[in-house]
Amino acid sequence: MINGLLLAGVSLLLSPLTSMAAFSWEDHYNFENIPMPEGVDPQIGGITQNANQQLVVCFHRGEIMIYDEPSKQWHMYASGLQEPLGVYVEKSGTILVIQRGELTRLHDKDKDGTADFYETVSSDWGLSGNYHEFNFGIVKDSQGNIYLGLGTASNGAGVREEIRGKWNDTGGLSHEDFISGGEHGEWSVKKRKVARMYARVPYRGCILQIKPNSSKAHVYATGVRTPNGLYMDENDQLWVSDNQGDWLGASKLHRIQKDGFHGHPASLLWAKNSPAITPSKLPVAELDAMRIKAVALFPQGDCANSMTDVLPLSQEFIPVAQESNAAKQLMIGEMNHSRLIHYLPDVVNGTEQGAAGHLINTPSLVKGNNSLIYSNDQKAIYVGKTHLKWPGDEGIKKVTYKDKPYLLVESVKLTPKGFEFTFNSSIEASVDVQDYEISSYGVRYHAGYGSPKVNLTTEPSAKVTTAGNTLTIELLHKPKGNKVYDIKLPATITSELSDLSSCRFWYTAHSVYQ
Amino acid sequence: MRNLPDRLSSYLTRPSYLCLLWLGVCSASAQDKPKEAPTVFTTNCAFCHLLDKDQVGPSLVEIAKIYKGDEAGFIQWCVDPGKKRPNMPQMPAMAHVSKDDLKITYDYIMGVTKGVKKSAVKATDAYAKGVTMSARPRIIRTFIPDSGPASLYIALPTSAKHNIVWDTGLCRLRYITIGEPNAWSYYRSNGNDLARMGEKVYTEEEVFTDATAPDFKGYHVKDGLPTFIYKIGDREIMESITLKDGVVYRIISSKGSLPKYRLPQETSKSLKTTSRVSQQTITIIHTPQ
Repeated sequence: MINGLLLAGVSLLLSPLTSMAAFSWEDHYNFENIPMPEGVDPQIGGITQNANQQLVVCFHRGEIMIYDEPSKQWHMYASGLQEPLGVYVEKSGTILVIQRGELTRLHDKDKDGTADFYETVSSDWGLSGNYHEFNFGIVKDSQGNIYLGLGTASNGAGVREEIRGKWNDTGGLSHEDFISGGEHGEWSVKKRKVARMYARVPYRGCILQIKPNSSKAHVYATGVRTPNGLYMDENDQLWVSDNQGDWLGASKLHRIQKDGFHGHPASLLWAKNSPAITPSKLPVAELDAMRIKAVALFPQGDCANSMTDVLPLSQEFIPVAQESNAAKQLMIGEMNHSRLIHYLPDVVNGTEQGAAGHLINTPSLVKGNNSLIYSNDQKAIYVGKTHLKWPGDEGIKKVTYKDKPYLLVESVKLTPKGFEFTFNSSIEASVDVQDYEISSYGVRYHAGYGSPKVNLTTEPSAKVTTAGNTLTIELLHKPKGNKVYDIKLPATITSELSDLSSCRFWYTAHSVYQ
Repeated sequence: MRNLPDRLSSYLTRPSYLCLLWLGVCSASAQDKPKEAPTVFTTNCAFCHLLDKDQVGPSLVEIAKIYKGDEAGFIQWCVDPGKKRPNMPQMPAMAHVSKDDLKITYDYIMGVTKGVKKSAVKATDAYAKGVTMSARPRIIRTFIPDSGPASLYIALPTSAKHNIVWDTGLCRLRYITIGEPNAWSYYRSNGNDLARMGEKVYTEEEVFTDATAPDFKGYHVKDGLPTFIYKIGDREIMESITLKDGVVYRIISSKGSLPKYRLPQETSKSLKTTSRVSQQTITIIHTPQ
């Protein structure tokens, strides 16, 4: 009997250890480092592929290099650009690169494998010399129009005496007010008059459109802050990820509307009907009424921090079972954590909204995930990393799917009473309401950086049911609009494929069912 | 064990009991080790603050030193961070983190830094000798002082290491320096600095005095040296920079007539500048002295 008790005791002690051996991303994906070129600062601004399936990569110090994976050889194509953050190979073989000062088209006219003509396609925007004025891109629509995202300036620093573009002094803020050092005065004093992010030269904080064979940039939309990810879907709908900060209580995913204002006020100076005062001083209620809300919020820290490149979700890479579910889902990079962000769309009362979750959430991915591209067969992604002086990493990680499906949530839908989760396989799941941790909160739209969780409320579940590959949660209190619902599913949900790969989702409920 | 009853002694030496005993010992040892970082720390702080080295933000050792005995001050800084360190980016406000979680973070930092000393970070540019950063000639766009925000420099293969600073916004040469440019402080930051360009040996005012804003069209590159293309009004101008026997030649030509121009009058002790016009071509020659 004592033997039995001892053995039982050992089992009890050991059982937490065995149940801790849960889902592992490494069982389903291979992670390898792409070797970096000798002597080149390996911070990656952008990656694409050319017609020969070679990687075309732009680096932090201005190199454009081509990587041939079979031979593991790098080749210098161009150099000397300033902070290139996007690269696009055109059908003719020329390469577009977006850098701080211009959109450049690289030509290899003598066909020796290196660029010999650096054509300025467009430089039709302002440059104040502020460090935060990054330019992002590049995507094209079906008509060949080019789209770029221009980041705002930051009050972490002022501007230079020599600028490009006409200074906008709306609100009585002159160029001199933003210059510091020496006779101009200390920035620590001057910055008190300046909004956290600003856009005093053309067209900072805007999405720009450049038509084919034109050098003119048109303001396509306003209201972005740091639009680090642009994606054009097959319906010519532009999606843009934006980073948390002032006026962004969380990182956001925008479904860009032409001529729309998407929330960050600084760029209103460049809108068709620009305000007569400093835009950040407009009443918040007025700005709130004007803005087009992001389809989804990605709460700071818990969900995402500094989102980056946007890719459509491919069933070759992520084992979503139903094509209709995969069709509109997106994967987004993130700088601060070793994970990718998963956007699962929903439409309620005609309003686009949806849920965020995590994919490839493992230290093997490493952080600093700035630029994403699929391999030709879409079974792998190449993830280019950067940091500058922010959190991040370096190099390129190749993540290859092992064709071994795993359990994941492939749809999150709001219902009149709660949420319905659809999985890619039949599941076994607890229906004990105590196992489901759900809370709700508001995210503030204000000039402050980020947002507290406003009216953080525990949302008890009244009932949980499962049927095949669906799980329905009925909340004790009906969902309310203008809330984020933070939903933690139990890690014990399992299937014949595997244990559940990601358990936590954040649903942005702009609209709810009455 | 010698004096224990035989039956008890036999249990105490059985593998199953020893296994339990071992687990108990392990458990006791685990309680003496520092706590794992709390989720609030790994989610919000760990990627900027290393234990003993400055990185994006100051080390935890540095933070613990500043806020020892001052939990309220620590929380206040997290909620409304100021800016003390010009060489580090602005810390974002932790508005989304509750006060309770900030207290947990404070306790963790104070505990994990006990007995830990700060390590210095070696600061050298590991890529200074890379070919794109050191070859001559090379063309580099970066933030350059005393020039527009869209400028570049051409590092020439002269013995004194001449560098031409060329402004793509104004479409003209601004000045020439000697010495090796150093833009490391720009590259290692978030772009919040200017390149150090060396000693100025020549400064030039605009050659074309036409008031029409020039329009930069790009540049061809041959053997590492550029031929700039720009328009002034409806005239397309080509400005090539070449080198022969250590002498720098700038050939500025127009397909049609030249816009109104002024030949450079600037003088310099270390660089002799001469210029001439022939048909639609201005030739400016800089000869190191």
